[in-house]
Amino acid sequence: MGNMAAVSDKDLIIRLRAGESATLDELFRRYYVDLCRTALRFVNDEQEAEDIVQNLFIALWEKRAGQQEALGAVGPYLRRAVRNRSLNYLRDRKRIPVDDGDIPETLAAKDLADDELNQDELRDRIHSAIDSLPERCRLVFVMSKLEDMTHKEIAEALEISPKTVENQMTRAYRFLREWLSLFLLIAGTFY
Amino acid sequence: MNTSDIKGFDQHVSSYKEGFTPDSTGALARLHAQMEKSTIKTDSVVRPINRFRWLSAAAVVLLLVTAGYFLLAGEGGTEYNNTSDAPMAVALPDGTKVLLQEGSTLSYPVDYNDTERHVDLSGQAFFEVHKDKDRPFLVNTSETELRVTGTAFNLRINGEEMEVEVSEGSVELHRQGHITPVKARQCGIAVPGKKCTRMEATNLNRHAWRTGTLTFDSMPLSLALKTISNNFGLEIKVPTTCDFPLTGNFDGKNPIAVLETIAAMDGGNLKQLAVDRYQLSDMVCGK
Repeated sequence: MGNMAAVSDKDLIIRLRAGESATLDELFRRYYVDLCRTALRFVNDEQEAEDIVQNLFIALWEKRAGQQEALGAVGPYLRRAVRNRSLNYLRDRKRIPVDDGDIPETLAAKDLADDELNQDELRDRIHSAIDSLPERCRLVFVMSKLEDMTHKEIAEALEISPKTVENQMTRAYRFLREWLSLFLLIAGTFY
Repeated sequence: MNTSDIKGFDQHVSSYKEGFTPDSTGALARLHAQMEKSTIKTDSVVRPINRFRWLSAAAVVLLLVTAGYFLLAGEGGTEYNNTSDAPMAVALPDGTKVLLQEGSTLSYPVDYNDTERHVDLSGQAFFEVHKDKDRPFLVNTSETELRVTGTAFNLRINGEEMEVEVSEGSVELHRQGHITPVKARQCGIAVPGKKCTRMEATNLNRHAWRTGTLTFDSMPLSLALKTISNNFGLEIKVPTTCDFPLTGNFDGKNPIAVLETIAAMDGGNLKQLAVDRYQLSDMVCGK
């Protein structure tokens, strides 16, 4: 087998369909990390995220003969598949939130007392703020902002109304804004 | 102030979970190993499960032809009595899944799932309750009622004592008009004549008989032994004056080995007194 790194996604899929197992490995190497991150945004558990992506690749191999759709756009296809698998995973474990949940009210004072604010810190704080959103709110936010899903797609995936999706987005932004403005104020650093 | 006023806000949002960089070389090796396994399996689920679950799954199959049995209880209800020496998987008519511990009995009436889902349990079981908001899933002792709409939990009922440890979602304990909500990784306990109590159960040790994992984090020995004894139906003797904080992860699928390890960690040893009766002896008690 020659150097696979130069082979295009499209050719990889054609060769995968022909049963060339080295192409599966190449797709795996290209997409595994990104797909695991996508799954992690949904399930919030690194081990489970990896399992979901592993299973996706097994299914990809087992159903290789039927891979018509992916031609030319294997990246988006795999990402969509991993999103669906993550949602199914949450659904099977009854982890799709059934209510809006409460926005956290307390801010840990020690987190806010740091005098220096750099971009790494700001990033970490934004990420932990996303993690502290109520689960439904977090999922909606992640699906909309990071997974580029439409409100309609999100509504269908979570079995809620598009109106609820909008409300959750407003709620997420309001919380992040308030959380960060207070933080920036206390940190004494304005951008 | 708007989020767009915060420099780099959108970039920082888009890097959410990007810090996670799994080892794709090792993962690829695992994929190959799994694919070899999956070629001989018909099951579509190929994610790794631990050995204990494999064993119990195998045992469940065995059960179908050996000791576990179910019979029609009074007035057309159904009763499962696990007389075997392995956990028994039971599927209820609404799709709820139950893993019934050895020596435990589960029954439900003929009108189960009409307007509610009422079961009786004596012993211990793990429930994954099918979500149905309109038909509450209920388990009673004479004073306390456990109410669930859809969640996963370990439940032990010993006479009038009820102990529920929740792994997913939440449940409620109702007693004389008082409601005690119990969330994931908490444990609720109901004993006759007392208010229901609730405690943190971070390590889900009460699931050990099923998961094979026991984790103690500076847990007093007495409480650790109580957990093991309740979980596996063992009587464990230790001098009452002997108590010290215990820390460690144990392979919980063999409680006897765990007890042997605990004894050895403290310089003592384990003696078997009778069937399901053990004693920790010659302990130095953390000294």
